[in-house]
Amino acid sequence: MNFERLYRASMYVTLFLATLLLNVDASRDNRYAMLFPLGAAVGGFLAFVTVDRDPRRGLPRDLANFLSFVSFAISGIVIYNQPNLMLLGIGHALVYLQVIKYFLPKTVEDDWYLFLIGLVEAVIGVFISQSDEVGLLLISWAIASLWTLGLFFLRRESLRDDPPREVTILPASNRLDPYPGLINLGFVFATLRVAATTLALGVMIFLLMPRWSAKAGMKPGQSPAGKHLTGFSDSVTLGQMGEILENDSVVMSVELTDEASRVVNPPPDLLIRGVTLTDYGSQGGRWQWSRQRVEVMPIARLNDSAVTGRKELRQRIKLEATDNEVLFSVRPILRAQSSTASELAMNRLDGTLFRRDIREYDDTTSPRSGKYDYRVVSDAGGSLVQEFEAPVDSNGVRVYTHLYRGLEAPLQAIVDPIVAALPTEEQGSNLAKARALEHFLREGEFTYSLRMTVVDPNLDPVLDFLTNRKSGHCEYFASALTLMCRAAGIPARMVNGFKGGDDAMGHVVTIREKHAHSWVEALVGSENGAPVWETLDPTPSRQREETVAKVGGGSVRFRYLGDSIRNFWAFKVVGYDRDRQEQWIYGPIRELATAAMLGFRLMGQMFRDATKWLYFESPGQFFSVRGFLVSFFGMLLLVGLVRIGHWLVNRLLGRTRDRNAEAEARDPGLAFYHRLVRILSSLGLERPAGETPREFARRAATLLEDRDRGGLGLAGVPPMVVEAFYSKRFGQRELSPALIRELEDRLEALETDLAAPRAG
Amino acid sequence: MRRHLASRVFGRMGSWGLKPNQRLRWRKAGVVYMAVWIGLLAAGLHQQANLILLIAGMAAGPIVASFLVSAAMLRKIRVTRRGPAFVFSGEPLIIDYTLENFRRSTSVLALGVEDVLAPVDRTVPGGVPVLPRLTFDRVAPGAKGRLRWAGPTPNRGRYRFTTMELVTGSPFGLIERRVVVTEPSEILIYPRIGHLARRWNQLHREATQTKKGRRHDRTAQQQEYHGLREYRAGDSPRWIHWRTTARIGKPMVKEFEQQNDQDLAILLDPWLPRTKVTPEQRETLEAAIRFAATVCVESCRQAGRRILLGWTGATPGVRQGPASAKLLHELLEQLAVMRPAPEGQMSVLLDALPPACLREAMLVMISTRPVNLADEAERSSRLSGGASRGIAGRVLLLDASQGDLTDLIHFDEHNRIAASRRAEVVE
Repeated sequence: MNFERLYRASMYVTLFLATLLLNVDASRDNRYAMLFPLGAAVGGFLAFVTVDRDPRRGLPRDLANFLSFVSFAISGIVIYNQPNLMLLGIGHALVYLQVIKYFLPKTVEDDWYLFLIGLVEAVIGVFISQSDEVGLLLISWAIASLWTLGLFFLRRESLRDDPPREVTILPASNRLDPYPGLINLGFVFATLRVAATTLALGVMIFLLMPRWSAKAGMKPGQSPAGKHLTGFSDSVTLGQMGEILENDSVVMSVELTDEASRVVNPPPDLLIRGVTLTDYGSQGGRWQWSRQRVEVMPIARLNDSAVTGRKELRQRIKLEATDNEVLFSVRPILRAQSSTASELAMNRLDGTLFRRDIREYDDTTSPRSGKYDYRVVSDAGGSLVQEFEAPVDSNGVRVYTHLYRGLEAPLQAIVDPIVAALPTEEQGSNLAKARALEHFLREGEFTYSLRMTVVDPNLDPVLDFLTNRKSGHCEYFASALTLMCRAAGIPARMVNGFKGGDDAMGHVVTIREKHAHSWVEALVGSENGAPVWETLDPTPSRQREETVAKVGGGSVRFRYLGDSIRNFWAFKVVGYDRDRQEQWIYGPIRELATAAMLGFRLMGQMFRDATKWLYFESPGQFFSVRGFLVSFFGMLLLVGLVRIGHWLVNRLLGRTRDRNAEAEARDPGLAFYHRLVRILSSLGLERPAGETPREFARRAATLLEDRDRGGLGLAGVPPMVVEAFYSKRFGQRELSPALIRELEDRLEALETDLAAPRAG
Repeated sequence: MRRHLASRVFGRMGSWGLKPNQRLRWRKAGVVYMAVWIGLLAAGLHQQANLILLIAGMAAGPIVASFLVSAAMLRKIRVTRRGPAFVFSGEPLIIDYTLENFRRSTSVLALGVEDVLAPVDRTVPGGVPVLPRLTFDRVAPGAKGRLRWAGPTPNRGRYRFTTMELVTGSPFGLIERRVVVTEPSEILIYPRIGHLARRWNQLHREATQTKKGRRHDRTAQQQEYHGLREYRAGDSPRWIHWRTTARIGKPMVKEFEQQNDQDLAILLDPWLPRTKVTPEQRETLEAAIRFAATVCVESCRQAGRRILLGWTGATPGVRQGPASAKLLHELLEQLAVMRPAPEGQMSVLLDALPPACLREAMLVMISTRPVNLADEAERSSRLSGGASRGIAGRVLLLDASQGDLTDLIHFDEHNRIAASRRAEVVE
């Protein structure tokens, strides 16, 4: 492939990446969005094999103009009908232009326009979406752009103007392949080096740019379409969670820090709470979130500077696309805040956290679903009290102890022996009873399994699990314990959330669907009027972990690598905000500066101490060994400094002097003066810096008078030349050609005379 | 190792600051790029959009990298120039440029060379700078690239290569870095050489005849034959040695030892008025110099003869010696740098001539103004009285302003003959 083809192919790949970047997350708004990159790729290929081989096969300019007009019209109609998609519409209009331009014979200016179109597409792409796919594409596009920009430079150089007709340069440059053998190992390494330097500089600038917002992340309406997250909707049928337990898809990434913003490793049994399920239906096997029992309570906003004195677990959560309003966090929640303007809220009656922007949408507007960033501060001190939760009243007790009629007796038969086995003093304690029931399920003959078999289809699935099957996943264990608690008279509710996660980056936990988990919260008392819900997890941990570890298959390393990249993108790039900048860049710099200041202060102190040694109370003290040493080294230092300063000044002044001298030497109006200087220099006459040209001329005239035995009037030449020089150089007067010729004649005579051998 | 690295880094940083021979300049593309970048940055900062800031950051990379890579592109290379010491005006000027890439792994790409060949003396008419511009597309690591620049030769004169600039826009063409290489050298552009016409031979023969009708010079038959050489354009067919030519298959001519040839003095009066010089007058002067140079070349081919070139001016000058290549170069150099003289008389020049020359040599007086030989002889202290009668028959007086030279010389369109003369001069 010759250079021109390589350049063109690179250009098309770069533009394809830009188009893909624009459309990769736009398919939720425009079902045809992915056709645009496809069109760009096909268009690029066709242009590569047609118009780029033979410019005569390009579109006529008029037709291209007409097509551009049509594409603008189409984009205008789309934008008019969907004003909320204006940016995407503009981006698509640019893609139309881009493809039309593909089919025109391209000049350097056309290539610049294509570059600019690609840049604008990329900017629109990152403005409407910031997913990790966009990040990957952005990096790819940047690298491809660097490569193509480098080739573009070489192409521009190869298209430089031909030399004038009367000039020949041999060997002539091959316009089609001006750089034969360009692509070799050295070029690839050099390109990689340039790319690495460029990207590193880019990252540095990115990191140093001032941030004044502490809410970096997704912007409202920018996220892609959400997906339904099974097991976290209003209604969950037993067994449904089995689907997601075998799914390896990422649900969210959670970064954990403490109250001092220090990194915290995830606790071994990290339970991230989601939806609370209260109603177990009479049809059997169906849990429901009671919409009738909702009291919305806005959560206190974050104030990071506030010092609570409590041990905190701060979570920065990047939730993947979901159409569910339920949010996840570690309980109990102290404060929470979304990266958007939307408020977070809690259902006071069951402790479920949710986003209000989804909950409050009506059917006429599309839900703002999709990726979602939020931050939560939870208590890490072991408190069981959720601050915003309402006390459980009699109605609440009724709900949390409700069992449908056919379930009471069989459950009673299971629960009573367990409670009866407790010591008498503990039989009145809800906590003790609940723990005993949890122990029964967790340590007994029950086993963990994702296989869904039914032994007796006429029985309630929970009863079938408790009496026949004795094998199931967490949902069965949690349902069984919840209902058993209720049978024992303990108010209880089931909670769906996540347990554990993949810990690829130490403090960032990647939570997948397979980490979904169900557990139980039992009401064991109250504290200052607030309910105390004890968390009970009846699922055998070890068996569950073994099962979770098997899900997903493939290489764990690759999965971790993917997690690392995703988390890096989400937290370090998209999530880079004022706080992080302060933490990573300016904080350490400030610390370094403080340390340096301290160091300088110490050095200053040492210097002051040392100068005391240099201090002489009376001149007489100079006449001592100390005085000699001080004055000797002081003078030595002074001389050194003066020499260095002199050298520096000369070096810097030499820069301007050289340029001035160069410019003067090129000026024909002053050439005669420089000739005089040269001639006199051959006589050994040099003008020192402190002597003006006029004084120099007088000195030279005196010398020449002695030499001018022939009476040619040579002594008058230097003053005459210098006077002309003054009037031109300082008087800004133009010398007449006649005068210049006369000066040159006299200089010629002077030079000839000086060059002639002298008698004696 | 760390110290070595640090010294290299700081050394380079220091040298950037104090390097007087390098200049940076924004190219138009760079200015536009910068404007777009500023727009991106402003948008990113205003929106606090990280990814736009990321793009802006990455877009800043090429700008900063341009400063570093362009400097690296100019390291470990050497560009040298090789031009002729002299060239005849009208012949192509050929300059060879060699780029040596001392780097181990990276090629030199799209490196421009901008050279300046400027006239030393700008009072010589027509002396305009020559600006060779060329680009080395690619020179592999450890290799040499050679380019030959061939362009029109400027008018006669002494020319000096002042500064040569190496220009690179690597790696993105946003910023241009120029480094000035000082490699001084000079080229003498000799006056253009033509053919002397038959009319010149006729005039020359007439001027060399004595009153008795005997010629001062000898014909070829009278000269002593001493060897053979290859035929050169302009040689008389009568000198061809047919037997040898037939034997070796290429034309060979006899060489003669010229003995007792009459000396020749070419006296040039490069007069131009002090002011209000018309282009025609300048051209007349150039024609006179061209003619003088052509006569010098023709005359110096005949060894054994003494040639003298004299010129008028504020200080009249004379160059003379036995015909030889060395003398020819001296005479051509003098003619190359010859400047117009608003003052000076032929009589003063005649006084400066050696007595032997005045006594015996044939005098070719070329002037750009009407000259009266009698008046000049009258004014001359050496030719006053009866002495002037002795030279009247040996003087060929040519007034270029009256078109006296038109029939005596003509120039080949493609300089074929001039090239052959040049070959002789080089030999």
